[in-house]
Amino acid sequence: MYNTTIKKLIEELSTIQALETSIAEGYPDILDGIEFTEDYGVDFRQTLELEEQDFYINIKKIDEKTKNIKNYAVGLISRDKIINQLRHDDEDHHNSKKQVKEANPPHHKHEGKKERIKGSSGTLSDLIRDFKNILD
Amino acid sequence: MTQMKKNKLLNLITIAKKDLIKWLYYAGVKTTVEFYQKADEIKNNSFHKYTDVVDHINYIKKLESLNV
Repeated sequence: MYNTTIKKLIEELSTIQALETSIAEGYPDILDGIEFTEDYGVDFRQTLELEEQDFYINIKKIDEKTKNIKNYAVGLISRDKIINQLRHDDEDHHNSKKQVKEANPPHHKHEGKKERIKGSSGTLSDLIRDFKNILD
Repeated sequence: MTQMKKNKLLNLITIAKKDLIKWLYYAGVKTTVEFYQKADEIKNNSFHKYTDVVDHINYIKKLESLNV
């Protein structure tokens, strides 16, 4: 049984998932029925305040052929500890980036291209499942 | 852009600006000026926090550019 916080999170993800096709078509209604322009629809960032964490979702790119959301980041940030409790994105792990010089500690779970756990890299439905598994 | 769409866009800009306060908080600063002053330090502590704040600032700029 999920608590209220988890329910909110899952609902939010489910809402985004349900809009995935319309986002890809360039006319999403993510927020209060607003009609996005094409430029608008491929760049969406939003933070949702939960009870003890903030949930965030950043969408930058939609694959026109597959209609899948690409170049994304979704995650949970602990408000007290100010750390990522969970983060999924499709970028290289920052420890792999030259400019970081391995200074970034492994303070959060991160499933970039090179350190992606099985099943966490696909569609939003995959992410919803992972959130359920982690937060249940 | 119709007035209704304009109002919704302004609403989204307002929300995005409130979000910026959170992202600055997570980066350990209070203002964008302080953020840019401590950019190198923030990068070294957490590359996510640095890029997320930069991305969010750019996102707000993009929204504001649509508000014409």
